[in-house]
Amino acid sequence: MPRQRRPGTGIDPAQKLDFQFDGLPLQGVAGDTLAAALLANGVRVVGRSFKYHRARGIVTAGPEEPNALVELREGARLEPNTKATTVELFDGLSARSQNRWPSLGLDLMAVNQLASPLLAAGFYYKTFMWPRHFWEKLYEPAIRRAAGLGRASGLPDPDSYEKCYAHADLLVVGAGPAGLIAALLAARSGARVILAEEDFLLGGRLLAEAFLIDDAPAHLWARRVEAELETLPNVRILKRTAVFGAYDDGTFGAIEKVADHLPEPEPGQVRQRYWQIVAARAVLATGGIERGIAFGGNDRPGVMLASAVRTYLHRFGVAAASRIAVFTSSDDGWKTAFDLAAAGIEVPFLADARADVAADLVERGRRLGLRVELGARVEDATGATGLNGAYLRSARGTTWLPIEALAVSGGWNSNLGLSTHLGGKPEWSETAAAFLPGKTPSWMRVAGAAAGAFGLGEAFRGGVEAALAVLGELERRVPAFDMPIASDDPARTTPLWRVEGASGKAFVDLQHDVTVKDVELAHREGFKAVEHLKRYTTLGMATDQGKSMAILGQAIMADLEKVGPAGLGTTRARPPQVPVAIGALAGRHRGRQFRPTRLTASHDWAAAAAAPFMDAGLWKRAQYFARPGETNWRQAVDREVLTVRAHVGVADVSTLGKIAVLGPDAGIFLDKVYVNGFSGLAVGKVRYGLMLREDGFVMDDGTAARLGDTDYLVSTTTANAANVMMHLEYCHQVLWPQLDVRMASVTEQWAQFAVAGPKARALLSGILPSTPLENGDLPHMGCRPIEIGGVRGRLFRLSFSGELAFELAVPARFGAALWRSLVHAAETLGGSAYGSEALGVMRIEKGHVGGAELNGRTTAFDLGLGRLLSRKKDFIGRVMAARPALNDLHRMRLVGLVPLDGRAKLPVGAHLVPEGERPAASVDQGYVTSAAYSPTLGHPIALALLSGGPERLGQTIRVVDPLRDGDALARIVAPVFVDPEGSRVLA
Amino acid sequence: MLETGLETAPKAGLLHVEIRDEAILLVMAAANAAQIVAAQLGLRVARASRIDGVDRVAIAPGKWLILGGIDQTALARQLGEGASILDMDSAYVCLSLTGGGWRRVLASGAAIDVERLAPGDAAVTAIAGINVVLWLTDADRLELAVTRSYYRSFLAWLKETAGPDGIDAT
Repeated sequence: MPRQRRPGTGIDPAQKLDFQFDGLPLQGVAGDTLAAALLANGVRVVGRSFKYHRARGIVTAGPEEPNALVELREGARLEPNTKATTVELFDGLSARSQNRWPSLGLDLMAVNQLASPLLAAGFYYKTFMWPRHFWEKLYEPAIRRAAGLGRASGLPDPDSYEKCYAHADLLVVGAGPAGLIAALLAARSGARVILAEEDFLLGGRLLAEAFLIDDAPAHLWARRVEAELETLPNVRILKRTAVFGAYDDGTFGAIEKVADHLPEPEPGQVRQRYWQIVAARAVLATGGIERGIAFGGNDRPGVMLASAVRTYLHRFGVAAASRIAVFTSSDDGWKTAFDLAAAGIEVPFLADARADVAADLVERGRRLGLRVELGARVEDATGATGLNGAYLRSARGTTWLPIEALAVSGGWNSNLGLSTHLGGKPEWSETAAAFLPGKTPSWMRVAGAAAGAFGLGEAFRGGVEAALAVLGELERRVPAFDMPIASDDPARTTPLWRVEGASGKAFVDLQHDVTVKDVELAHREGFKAVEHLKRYTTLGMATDQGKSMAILGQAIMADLEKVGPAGLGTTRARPPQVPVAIGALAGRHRGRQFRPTRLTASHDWAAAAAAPFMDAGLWKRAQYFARPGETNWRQAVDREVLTVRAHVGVADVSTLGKIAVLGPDAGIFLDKVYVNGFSGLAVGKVRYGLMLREDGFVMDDGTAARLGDTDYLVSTTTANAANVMMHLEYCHQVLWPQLDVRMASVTEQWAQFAVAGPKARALLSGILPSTPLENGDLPHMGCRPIEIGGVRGRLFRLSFSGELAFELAVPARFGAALWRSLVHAAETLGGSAYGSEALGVMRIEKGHVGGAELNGRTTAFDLGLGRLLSRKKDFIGRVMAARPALNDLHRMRLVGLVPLDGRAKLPVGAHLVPEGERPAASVDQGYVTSAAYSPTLGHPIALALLSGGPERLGQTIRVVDPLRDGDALARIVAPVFVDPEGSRVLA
Repeated sequence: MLETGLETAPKAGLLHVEIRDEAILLVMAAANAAQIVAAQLGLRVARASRIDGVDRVAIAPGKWLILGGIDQTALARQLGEGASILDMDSAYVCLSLTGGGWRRVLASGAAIDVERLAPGDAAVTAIAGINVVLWLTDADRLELAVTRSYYRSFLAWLKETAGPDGIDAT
């Protein structure tokens, strides 16, 4: 039944909002959270618990809520496990309870409670051990079906997200009293301030208490400060923004819920925004979180935190029930009883576990006519689907008293999370009866309740102190300000973690259904450290991360260990502090924009030719260009290879890395980074080169052309382009800064196309009619500048295919036009374009090493390139490459393989074992690195690394591929299959 | 250069993108000559400046991009042995962004302090994972050089980030 609405600091009662819960039409008001609106409508049960399926209600009024998790929205926007206490009500909102079947009222899975002795901590670990083969077929599927709370939609997310960067002198996290005053002072000083608040209103507890500031209601002070901050251009206020992580050097991650309070985002509006905030200084004013007490049935719907009861009363104008008792071990609980009584709500009893309570509190309680029970405890709460009473044990014995709600206060925790992300270790404070932030980085301060200043006056003082310290460090003037006049309410706490003698389940983690007995079991079984306790029982591992209650379990363990909270400690949090949608982290990087792509100059032509593309790093490379009638990729690739070998083909090789190395010492520099010499290379010549790492293994290969006396062009493999560039920069800047060398990546500047095949010269003579191309003019491994259509380019005589071949380079802006001309010219000569697949096949036919062989574990000796290592000069990797073990004949070294039967595939990754041996790791002698069907030879071929390979040419080896049922015999051959004399290249 | 489908009619909030089809040179100073070359280029303090319609942008210690109508031969003669010059007119697609709150758009992609970008500033950074050089010679105008092979991805990001008001191009 709807309750009568009272005035609230955060609502507009005149603005009604219709919504539904489990299909039931209800009404709330503007400013409500879903939880507030449900309470206002008398809804007590909002969900079922994770393990025992016990009825659960609303416990808190904030993001620490463990129970009130609902499914929100419909269809693709369905969102499970949303905390009703943080959902901003909107007109038309639809929410459903979850983890129940068939209904919230009748949940058949509640039968789990009968099996609760079996479902204690460690149940899964102990039970599903045997028989082993049951795990995959039975246990895991069954557990997966039973696990989880809500349902995901399974549909693509229809909303968009974005990422934003922001910089500030000061980031203030939390807009309660400490945060607001810190932000105000810094803002008035002219510092750039970002104020981030998870709530949709600023004010924190100022909205939720009957505080007076300067003799006026506290929320009015918050409104005034907010109004001033909004007028300042140096302030950015981020509401609905949860700072979820603190990272190095003042970097924070935050999620702004831009449109979660709307039925759906406006056109063009993102749903959430992921902020990366970089701040010179940060003040964490993240407040405190009240904790409960573990007594029997402390999960019954109607058992709430006392501060939440006050929040609903003052901010939302909602009485959580009509008869609300209070059970406390802190002064703060008394405030709830006083406020309820002042609002005319019946308070059946106020039980304080402490016998010694400040006389003024007791006196005020008695004046208000409260039944005050000192040294009393609630042992058990009753009412399966809603609290109907409680057993109160006092000096006079145990009595059952009818109540509708119980406001519980076990004291306050400081909201530590962010302060621990960079390694800060919380420290127990006897004064505050709470863990407080430990050492934080010099740029991070903690203020207010987050630092243990739980009273309003001391929270203000803490905020001011933090702001003044920051302004001093930033060398900013201190602005004029009036310290708000506010009271320091008593906040003494004597922690009470659990009530002995409870007969019902006493929970220490409501969302994961962890009980006091689970903690005791963990203790008996040796899982005593807080981190072990957490893993064994799942204490604090749910979406609420145990913010309000996990401390109970830890403290109970500390008692069992007789070390106290300080002795046992508490867990340190890692980011994220609050659940973060993956979509928000992805931002705009989804679908085709998941990552940027790099396109070559010929890309549009290839796309129009319906070429499939392969990823080479971020590059898109055309694989082949199928023609009508070709029904599979092999047909197209075989045709392209044979076309090149018989006629001519053109291929886009622009993705290879290109680095200009200039300056008087360029040649000397290259001598040092390549195993072979380059300073003696003549201008107009190109040389194959090999780079080693310091450890003597091969890093990359490629060519370097000498374009002028002090002008070299280094080429790299596509995959290693960036690595080689970084390596060269490192070599220059760190190893040999004295060399006068200048270098730049020019990969993006040049489009480069291979023209390969017996008719390559004929093709180019049509394109470059005035450029002499004969061997005498441009021999193999030569290069020269050219001009083509008024554009200056470069021509290289290089061959990767093993055919007569050239590479033609022009500035990339002219690449598409040149490519079309080359393809047209090729086609008139019976040739065609060829893609990366044909290029790869010809590479294997010719025995050139590629990425599969340059795998970081091979040496020049392994690859048959040992002869390149200069004996006349030093170079990176020389000493280490000379180690005997790297020159052992039995190392896996490069060979070729052909199937004995001429047909069998020799798959990449297949293992090589001696003929007649049973395949096993103990007899493994190598593996296939590259494989292809050779249309030139008419049978499969492969490159492989084989122990002692070059000494075993002509022998037979078994090629075993257990993953794909491959098993064949192959002959070991030299790794050059086509034209080993190189006559075609020199044609 | 820009893909079709972009808005062409000016409207409020529109982010205007202008393609700068200009010569681009990369100047790399010889060892120990960086300060001399910077002075010769007119860049003593600022990292970016526009002189006679030619932009000079510092992109790394001893390295500058020169954009606009400049005589490469004359520049080479001026710098002499002090620097090497490379033609990079195809390595980048250069854009000018005006209107439509380009700072907001930029803050969504680049991890730099966009609010404090002022004429004379330059940065080599990444926007949405794409390498760019950016600089200001005018407080209301952002100059960008996007590496050519990434240009389409950059444009897709820009169009989406510009939001409902969209972008137009010249």
